[in-house]
Amino acid sequence: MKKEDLIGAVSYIALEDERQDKMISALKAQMHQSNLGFKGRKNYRNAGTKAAVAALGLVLIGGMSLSAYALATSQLKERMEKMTPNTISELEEQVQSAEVQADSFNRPYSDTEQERMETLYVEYMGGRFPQGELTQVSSEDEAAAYEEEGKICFFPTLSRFYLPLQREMTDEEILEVLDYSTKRDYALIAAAAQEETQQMETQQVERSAAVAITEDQAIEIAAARAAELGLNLDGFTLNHYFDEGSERKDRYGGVARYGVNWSNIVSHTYYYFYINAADGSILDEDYNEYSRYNRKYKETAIQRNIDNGGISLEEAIKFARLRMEESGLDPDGYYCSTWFTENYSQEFDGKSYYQVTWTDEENRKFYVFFLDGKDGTILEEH
Amino acid sequence: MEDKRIEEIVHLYGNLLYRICVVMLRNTQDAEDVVQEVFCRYLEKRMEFADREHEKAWLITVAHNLCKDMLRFRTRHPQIDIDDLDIGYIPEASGEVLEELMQLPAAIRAVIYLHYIEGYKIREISKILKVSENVVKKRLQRGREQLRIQLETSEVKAVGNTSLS
Repeated sequence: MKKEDLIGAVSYIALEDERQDKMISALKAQMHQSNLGFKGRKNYRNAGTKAAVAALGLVLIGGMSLSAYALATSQLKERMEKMTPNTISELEEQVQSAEVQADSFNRPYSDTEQERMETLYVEYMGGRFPQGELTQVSSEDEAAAYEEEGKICFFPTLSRFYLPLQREMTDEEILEVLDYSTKRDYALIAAAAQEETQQMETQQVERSAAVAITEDQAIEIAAARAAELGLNLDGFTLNHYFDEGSERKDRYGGVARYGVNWSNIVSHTYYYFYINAADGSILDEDYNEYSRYNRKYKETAIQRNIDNGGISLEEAIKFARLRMEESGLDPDGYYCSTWFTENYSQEFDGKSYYQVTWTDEENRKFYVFFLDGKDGTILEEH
Repeated sequence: MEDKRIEEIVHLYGNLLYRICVVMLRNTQDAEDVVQEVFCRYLEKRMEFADREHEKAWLITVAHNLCKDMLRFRTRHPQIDIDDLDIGYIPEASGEVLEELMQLPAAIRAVIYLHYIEGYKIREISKILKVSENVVKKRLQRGREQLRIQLETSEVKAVGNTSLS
């Protein structure tokens, strides 16, 4: 495959103008809602995104952005770091358990409040902190009582700020709002960082446990297997790498493994071995079909299967053909290709299996059947 | 002003992000959702970027992360045939290439896309995807190998017909 082919193929993927326009309209609507207190978020956002939205709260409050980098101011940094783990945990919990996705307010900021907030924000960053803390209430009724008295408060469950209705906020009150929002922002960042660290540590432990052999040992195992198969690797280039596997189970069960392969670009011949990093077992081996060794290997492996009481290739094709016909498809309209895998693979509980693929090149459709090498039972089809 | 900015970024980066998301997710509807979410975050964050490249890299990183999240949690349409992708007319030859690309694991697709389509260097991809350069190299190598092999295998399939049918 040429690079140009790839670029050309992907270039056909494009967002239609109509879709773009719809997206623009939706984004505009969302931004307008957000400027009014950010009530109209989409429902599909998961809890993890609340962190981002909560961080946005301060942006909306002050019309300015605060990021973790802002904490570089030493006094502010010191203030944040003084928070106990319990406080951080409580703040994070507040955000995660809130019934809404973002902050709201009982009234918009006045122009002068907005201006003062911007000035106070700069001072806050420089070390001017409030004397007290923003009052938090536990119910809407309590919030209403504060509102009636003309006092500022915050109701975490609804993530709602209740500002004095009859007057402007004092500097102290603005600083309390800024302080609360900054602490909450910091708590979310700290909690996320802690979670990430824990995940990394867990993965590290799992990875260490999953890796018992070295890359060199993996190469030796692959080379031994190649010798067993009678492969002549003279003139081949050796490549090898470590693959840590993944949480998502792939065809190798997501285990950590080594990939060891030999390639000869002149003869277009490639041999691949995948070695389990935990125990050195061969997870899979693969050969490109241009290789005469490959064909020889396939024939030999199938013969071994028959000798052990398994079915032949012809029988496997027959079973797959029947399955196609059962599905109302005419196999004669398709190309048929086959492969046989011996029982070293972790797939299908270590069973030997045939893979029979019927391909309709013209309509770019294909049907793949995996059949038990023993009796031809369909193990998987798609 | 805000409206103008929204139009500008969607026109500037909409297709780029959409392509990445389609390649990652193999689903046009999910790709659209993710692209919209990326723009939402962009507008919310109001970040300052050093230049357009920095901005573009940030958007790709967010798109990639969201795609990963979606792949992790998605239950619908786990696999989709290239024919079912509603991405307009694709010449047969291109469709074949696209199909080969889509068959790669998502992590490898992303690296192949960024390197070959967007022209990012290994070091840049490493920063965008937050993985080591070594991991990028290995994914590239595997992607290169698998793309080549898959194409060759499909050629052999056609030949195989003569002997087996």
